[in-house]
Amino acid sequence: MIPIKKPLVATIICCCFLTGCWDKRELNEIAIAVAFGIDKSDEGFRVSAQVVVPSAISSDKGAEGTPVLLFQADGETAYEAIRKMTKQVPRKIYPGHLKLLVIGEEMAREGIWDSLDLFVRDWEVRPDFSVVVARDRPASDILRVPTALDTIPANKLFDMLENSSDNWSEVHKMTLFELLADISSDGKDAVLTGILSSADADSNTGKEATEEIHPSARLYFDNLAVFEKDRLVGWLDAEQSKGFNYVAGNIKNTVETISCPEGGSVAIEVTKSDAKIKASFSGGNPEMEIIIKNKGNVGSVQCGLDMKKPESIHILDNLFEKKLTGIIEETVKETQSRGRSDIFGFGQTIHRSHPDKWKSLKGEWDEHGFENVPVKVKVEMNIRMTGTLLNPL
Amino acid sequence: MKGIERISAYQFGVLVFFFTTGTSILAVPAILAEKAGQDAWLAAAAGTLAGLGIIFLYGLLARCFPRNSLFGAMEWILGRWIGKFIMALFILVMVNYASSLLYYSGAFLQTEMLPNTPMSMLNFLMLATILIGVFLGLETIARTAEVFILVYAVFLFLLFIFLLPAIKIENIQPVFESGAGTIARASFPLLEVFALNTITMLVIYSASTDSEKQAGRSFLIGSAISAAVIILLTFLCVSILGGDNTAKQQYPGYELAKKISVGNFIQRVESTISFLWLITLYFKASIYIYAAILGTARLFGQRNYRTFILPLGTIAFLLSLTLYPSIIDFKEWRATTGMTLSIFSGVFVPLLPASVYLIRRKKLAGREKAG
Repeated sequence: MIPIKKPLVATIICCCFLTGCWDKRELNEIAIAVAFGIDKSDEGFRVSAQVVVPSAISSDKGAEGTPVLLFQADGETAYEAIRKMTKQVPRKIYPGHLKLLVIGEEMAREGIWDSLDLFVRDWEVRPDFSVVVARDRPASDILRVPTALDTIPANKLFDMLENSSDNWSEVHKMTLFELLADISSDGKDAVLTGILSSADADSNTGKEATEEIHPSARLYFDNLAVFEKDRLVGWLDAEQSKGFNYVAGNIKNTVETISCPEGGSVAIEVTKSDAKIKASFSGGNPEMEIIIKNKGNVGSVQCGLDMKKPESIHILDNLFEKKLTGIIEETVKETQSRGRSDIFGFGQTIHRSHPDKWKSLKGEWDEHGFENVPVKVKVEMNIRMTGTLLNPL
Repeated sequence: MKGIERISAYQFGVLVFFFTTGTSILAVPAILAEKAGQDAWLAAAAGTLAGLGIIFLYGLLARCFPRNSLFGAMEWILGRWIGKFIMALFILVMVNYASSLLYYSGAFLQTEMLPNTPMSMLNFLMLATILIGVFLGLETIARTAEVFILVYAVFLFLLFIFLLPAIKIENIQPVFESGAGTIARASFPLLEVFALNTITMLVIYSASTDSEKQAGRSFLIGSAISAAVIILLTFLCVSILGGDNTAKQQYPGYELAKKISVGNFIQRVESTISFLWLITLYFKASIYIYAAILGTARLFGQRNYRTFILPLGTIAFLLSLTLYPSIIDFKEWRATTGMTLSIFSGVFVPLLPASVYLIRRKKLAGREKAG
């Protein structure tokens, strides 16, 4: 009896364990979404999904057909809309490789919390993708534009954002994760990079567009969208955006052009920038101090400054400090005059350094605390290298 | 009565470590952060420190009944009938806990990895593995733990190293904002899972270890290391995710692992890292079930505890599927009913024999000689 029983039991047990994964999904059963766009619609949400077409991007055959497809669906919730897409897509949308979430401006002005909840709650989504706001347009317009350098637009945009954050630092790559931290914390409001499109009604957004050398429909990042809690309330212009990034410590590398005393200009490459915000109290009222320490190199010289003299470097240091102080003071003033949106996190700084005083300030910080707080700006610059040249050509 | 199976003091320490770390590290940071915010790591320190005190007292208690298990002690000190009554209640609590751990592991897997797999399958596979371990005996479980502790240590070390660059010290500021009272209150649930439930370890402490003196030391060392791990993970959660965000997460520890990205190369490793949690859940549930089965055998005067593996396993399995209608109900149950059960098993169960022992010490000593 026993010799028959043992193999039988073993077989049954093996059946239980060796049948594979219940939740398995093969690559040909999923539609990989690389970007989502969220807009307002009559029903509530309009979600656009940019989905990769695997056969078109495989390297061995060469590109055939369009590399990505755009699907759209409306729903009362974003989740519902994404599921409704199954009516158009033969595969289930898989968001695990999401690179970019584009929120239409109209939606952003009403609040982004409701759209974001899904992306945090869903188990497949990883919170490391970037979030941007489509300026003046619905997000679906942005995701419709084809790109040539990288055939998958979402990848191109993601890399572009990263590249620009790293080397020009006017825009800022904000991941969902960082955004959540900013929105949910007291005394700090969020900013998101804006994405713009140069396409107009008769721009070519078909596949032929990728064959133009200078396509009329191009996407570019510009400006920062200012939020109050989760609602978009305004935009910073290019210079203010940069000013904000200096204060937020987001500058990795950038270039500033400063005018020489006797006309002409010098471009300075900023290689390192550290920002610190300090809060102090005088007579019960808070005061903020922004200290920014920079290091940099001379990038190009278009004026008659004698670069061999140490004084010239000091002059440039001072000019840079003056210019940047101006930009930052302007940015702070502009933000404060708008009121309410504490994008620099002054409130958070006070909370962290003076928790007891924050308790009494907290209640009215948004109302009139932030806009009335005096801010001192201190910029230090230390130019070290002048490139391979000494004096200008 | 001394059990036949023997484990070394080191193995016992490893089991204590797994048991006390158990459920603490996956969800506890969220529970702590809910009340204490960015001071959650202080609450973790307070809770585990107080917990170590309780565990020390359990160690003292176990000295009252050398070479005997908690169950044996109950009968010996409280007399046959009262002893058996308390024992039966204690076993019920253990079975309840075992099933709540099964639900917990099932819910975790279903939420984060396998949403379409029925929970009955997830719980069944977990339970089957546990029951095979229990069938093979305590020595086998202990040796398994001895092997896995190394893997565990490596994974924990990697998790820590990979997360170091993501730490933002500003996130824990201002330190001590919530005040001592709030921190103490916040740490209470941790005290429960970390210390009060550890009473279960007394079932194997005196009866199945080689040398009681050394085992006593590993009891404390095992739980102290576990305390350090809990504090460390809570600190990582708060300093990386932020206090508010930690409190909002269902499984903040898992969310941490999602943050790992080293040079765009080592990333998306969270399901590998989840090994950390599954392995501790496995050992904790194993010890609960082992204790329950051992107790049941004693309750009915059976020599061979293995008879009860299937019936008790079935009960735990069914309870894990039927006890909690939803994950929110489960959390509610843990905070209310679960807490009461823990106070019963962790405070009342040791206190009653201890006080009776102090009163009847001489008589008992005489009975021991006679017996």
